[in-house]
Amino acid sequence: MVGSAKAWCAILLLAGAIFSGTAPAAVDGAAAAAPAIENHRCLRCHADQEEKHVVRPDGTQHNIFIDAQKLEHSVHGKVACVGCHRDVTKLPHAKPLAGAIGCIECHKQEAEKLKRDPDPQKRERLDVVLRQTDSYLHSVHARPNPKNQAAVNAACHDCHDAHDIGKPGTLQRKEHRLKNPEVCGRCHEKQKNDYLGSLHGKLITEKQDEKSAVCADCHTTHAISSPKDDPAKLAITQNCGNCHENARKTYFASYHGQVHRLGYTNTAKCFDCHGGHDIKDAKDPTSRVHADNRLENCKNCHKNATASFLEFQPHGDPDNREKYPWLWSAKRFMQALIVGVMAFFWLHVLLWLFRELMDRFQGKGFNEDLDRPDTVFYRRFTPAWRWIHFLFAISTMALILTGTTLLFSHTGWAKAVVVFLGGTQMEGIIHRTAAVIWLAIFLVHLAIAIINIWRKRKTFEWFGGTSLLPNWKDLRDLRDMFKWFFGLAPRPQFCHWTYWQKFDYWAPFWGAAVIGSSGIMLFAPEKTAAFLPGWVFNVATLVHAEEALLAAIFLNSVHFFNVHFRPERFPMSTTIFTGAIPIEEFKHDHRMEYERLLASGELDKYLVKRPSRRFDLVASFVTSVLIIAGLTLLTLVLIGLSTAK
Amino acid sequence: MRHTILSLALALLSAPTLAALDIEPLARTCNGCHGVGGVSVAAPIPSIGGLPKAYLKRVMKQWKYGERTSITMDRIVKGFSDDQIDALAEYFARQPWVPTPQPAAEAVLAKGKAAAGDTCRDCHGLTGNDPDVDAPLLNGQWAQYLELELMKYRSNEFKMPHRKMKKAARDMKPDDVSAAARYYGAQGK
Amino acid sequence: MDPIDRRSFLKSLTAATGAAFLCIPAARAAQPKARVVVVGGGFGGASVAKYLRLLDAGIEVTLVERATRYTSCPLSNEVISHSRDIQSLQTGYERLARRGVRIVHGEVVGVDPAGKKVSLADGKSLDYDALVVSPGVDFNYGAVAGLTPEISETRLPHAWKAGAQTLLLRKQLAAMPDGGRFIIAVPKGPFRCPPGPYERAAQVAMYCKHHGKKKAKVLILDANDSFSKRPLFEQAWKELYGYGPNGMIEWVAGASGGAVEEVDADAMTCRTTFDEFKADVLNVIPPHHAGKIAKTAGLVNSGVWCAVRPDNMESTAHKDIYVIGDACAGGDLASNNPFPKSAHMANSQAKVVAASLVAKLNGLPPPVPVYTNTCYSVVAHDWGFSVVHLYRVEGNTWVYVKEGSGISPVTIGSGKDAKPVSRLHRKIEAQYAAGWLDNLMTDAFG
Repeated sequence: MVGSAKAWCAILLLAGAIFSGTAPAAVDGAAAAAPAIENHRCLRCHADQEEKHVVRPDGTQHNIFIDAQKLEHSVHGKVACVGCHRDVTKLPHAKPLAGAIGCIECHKQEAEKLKRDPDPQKRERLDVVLRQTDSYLHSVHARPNPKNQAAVNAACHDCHDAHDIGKPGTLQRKEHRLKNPEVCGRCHEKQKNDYLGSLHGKLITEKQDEKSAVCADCHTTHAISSPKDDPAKLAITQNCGNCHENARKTYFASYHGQVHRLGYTNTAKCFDCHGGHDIKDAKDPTSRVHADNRLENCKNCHKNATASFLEFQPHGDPDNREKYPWLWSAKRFMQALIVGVMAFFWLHVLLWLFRELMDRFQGKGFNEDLDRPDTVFYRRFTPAWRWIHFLFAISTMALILTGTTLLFSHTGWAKAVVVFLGGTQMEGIIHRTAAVIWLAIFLVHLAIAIINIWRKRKTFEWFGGTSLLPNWKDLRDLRDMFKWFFGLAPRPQFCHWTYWQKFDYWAPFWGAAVIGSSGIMLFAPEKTAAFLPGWVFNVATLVHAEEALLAAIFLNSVHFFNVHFRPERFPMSTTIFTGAIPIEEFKHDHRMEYERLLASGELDKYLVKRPSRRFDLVASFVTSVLIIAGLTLLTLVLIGLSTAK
Repeated sequence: MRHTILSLALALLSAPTLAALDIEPLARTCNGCHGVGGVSVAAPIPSIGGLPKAYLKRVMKQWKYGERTSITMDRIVKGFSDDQIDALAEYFARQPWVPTPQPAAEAVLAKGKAAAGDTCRDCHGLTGNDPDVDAPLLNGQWAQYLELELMKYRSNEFKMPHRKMKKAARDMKPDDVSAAARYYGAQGK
Repeated sequence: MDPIDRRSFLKSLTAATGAAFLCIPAARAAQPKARVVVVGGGFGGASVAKYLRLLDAGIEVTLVERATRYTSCPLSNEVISHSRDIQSLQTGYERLARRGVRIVHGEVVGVDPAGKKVSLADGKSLDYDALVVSPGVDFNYGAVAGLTPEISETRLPHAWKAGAQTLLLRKQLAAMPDGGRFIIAVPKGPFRCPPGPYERAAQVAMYCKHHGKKKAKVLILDANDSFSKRPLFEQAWKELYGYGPNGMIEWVAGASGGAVEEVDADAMTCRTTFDEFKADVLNVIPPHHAGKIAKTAGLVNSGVWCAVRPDNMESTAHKDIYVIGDACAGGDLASNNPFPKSAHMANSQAKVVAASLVAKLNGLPPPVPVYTNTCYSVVAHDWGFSVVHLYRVEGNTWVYVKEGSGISPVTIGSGKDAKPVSRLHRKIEAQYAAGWLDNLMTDAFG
């Protein structure tokens, strides 16, 4: 046993000797003190046109040829061969070179060296390289190969021929670009074959048109991820758009594109309709977007899509009058409407503000005596109207918020809101629920109004002071208001409803008609398409959005001013929630109605006590919240409008 | 017990030596023409001790399989197995390279150095034993042998598979061949 | 490098190693592992002495040799043709001595295989654990009527052991008139250096061709019906000197009555079975047998030669006695491929004996023996060729390895496509021949 212990010692010593003998050599590396081997020495064998191949001892033949000219003109032209192939310390080298070269390591070191280089172009180019390497390291290509965990799916040299990397703008670059499908196709063979049959592929192979899309244009060069993942799908759309700019613009203007741009891919994307690798011209009968095949694309999502779907223009451009006259007209009309309405009312607001401020400076106008607040109030709204307005306001705001996230899907806030709400599907549910409530209230209000009129049918004056129907006096009032604005006449006296209140009232009728009908169409596209042509979706999408915009801007600016922000009312009027208006204020704004009621002795019927302090606080709170919400929405909408491209 | 363990330890420790011993009787037969340890003392015959293993292996196999003409060696190596050839190459590669610097006239050396710089340097180095060269060593190799070998490369009568060597040798001017051979022959360590 | 350079190089080497030499007696003082006596200081004996010391310095090696300088037989034909100085073929035993070989210049007169003792002419004796006998050949002068050792030494030199007779023959050739006849009488084989007589014929013809004797004739009277490297020789003869009845060289086979049976030194004639030939120079090579001491030691047991074991060249007559070189009878006799009696063969056999002895003395397994031979013939300054031999031992017999053996190509390609081997090829091989001798001499004596 002693002997065997000795034997083990001997074995250990021997092993130790072998280990200590070999390890340091491996760690130190021979590169440190190795003399540089000039490139022309390497090229003596590797650039030999007549002997491009070597046969290794295992009998396999390998191409060792390097085009010396290409190398010289490549970005690595001045780099020593042995700078990358560091395992070569002697020539000729008997062993084949290691496949993996430390590209990333070297580029990092170069970047470190050039950090303070005075030439900004150099730094910029290296930044590109660094960004690309970083993208690569996070890409699917840099992950371990499932079949061989020791290797990655694709290493630098699998795609790049380091000896032929052209400087930007050179012929080498062009050649590399034209070779892209072939390079990717070494692994992705099926995709390559599909691609080569495609429009893109043919332009590359037959026309050498480097402007045609190659793999990397859609899939990116380095940040390659699985095309099944959202980031890849989103990137592909962006990348298609890099060439097909107008298609991307019109796509993003469509419902499909809006959802997609918010970061969601459960909607039709470029390749869902056009195909991915096998994209063909629409005239090609095998093309997925050929007229005969296109419905199949729709049916992938809209299972019951009808032939009318074919008339839908996924890339309908409202600015293209020739191709899309309906859409063009709709846009012009809606824009004229928005501009007209807003221009008029904003002017109205400004002049009004100016007049009241002027009056105020001159000690004129309506001023509440804060020492003796009103104790007598006029009851202007019954609880039913107050509830209706409240719910109407809430649902309108919900609709604006959820709708504009799509409309302004390019903004950061839209993306944040949609995430906050739980995604585009959730948002759709909220939008449609709010729409149903909105419409229901509208109808309920109509019913109540009709009932009310019916009850008073004997005495109801259709164009009288209490009617909301516009009349000639409204026009006169409007004229007189403008006179007053300019100090040419006293402020006109109003009946129960002022003309701006009537506008506020009737505007939703128009809105309900436009937004409601277009909304319903978009809500149920398959049913709509059963009896309407597909292009109505283009028009519906456009007018729905434009009208909503008009409402959002008008309500949150003009309406807010008229009711809350004009100096007489500032900071707010809570009447719509308390139902009561101070009698002095009533007298000021609705003098003729007050006098009529006074004369007819009906006034007492409407006089109420001042709302309790608590009720007043609640009303103020609710009003404040809604105002703040409204102003926020206005801000978001204006951000969206001003950043839209 | 003790004996077995000792012999086991001996076997372990001397395993490489024994394996080498195995080829030594055969390797010794080479000494007759190439000198002990492959250090030739005769100008027409090359020193082979310390030449790169891959080179030795390659030429012997090329001779054996009729891919390369040799005057004498092709007949000899045909009697060796591939394993024996590998072991012989390994054995001689393991021997120290002993250059035999041969004096030559200054003018010849200068001419030879220029020719070597133009033609030979990239693969063989300027000293014939540059640290970054793994080609067969030329420093202190016998100039007469080198010249004869170059003549083989330059002639059409011989199968010389090293295309680049052939081209390089043929590109040389006739009197540069001898000068370059003498230049390398004159180099020492 | 010319010979003078080489000698000065070796001289400086000698000086450098002189100091090392002084240390050897101290090492010797220790009890030797074994004592090996080598009889005969030719290629075989020198090689075995050297390799024994090289492989195991613990062995005491004593080399017994009559002469103080050795002259190589290989390439000695070049001396006859005035192409080479005999000094370039000579060497002493100093380098072996520096390797620790004890050199005893003396003559062995007796061997006692039982008592493991060798007795010398001066009365001394040497004890041995192993004895290597490398005696070369001696001549059977009696086989040719009219020939005596004295006549060989003075008038009809065989010049088959390089030395004085070589120089005598050289002188005779120089003195031969144009149109003279140079007869080489070749004995029945086996004889030392199988291609030697034919190389000599070429060398003589070359001398004549370039020294105003273009009408001279070289007649080979052969006791044999064919000879070594025959196609190569005949090709070269024809090409260079003319071959056949109208050429400078003519060969008469044994079957055509080539065997010389009698010579007359006074008349300068020789007689074969059918003819009598008048000669200007008569170079009669008598038949050979194993060197005298082999017979004395009782080692001759295969005709006139000594049979040995294939694995280690041990005599089949006596244990612990090894016979190498021209005196032994070995090789693949079954396939008619005996060991050629050549210097390289002796050198190769010596290495087998040395390795085998060292293994045996150190208790190591016996090494695998391998026998090789390379033998060059130079027929003109720029025309040489060779034969190589490879033998392995399988079971207890020698096997001639055909793949590793053979002569230089006669033509490139065969049949209709055959074309002559280039002159460059022959020229290179002629130069190799000189190199080969230098290295072989160094391998044996260096």
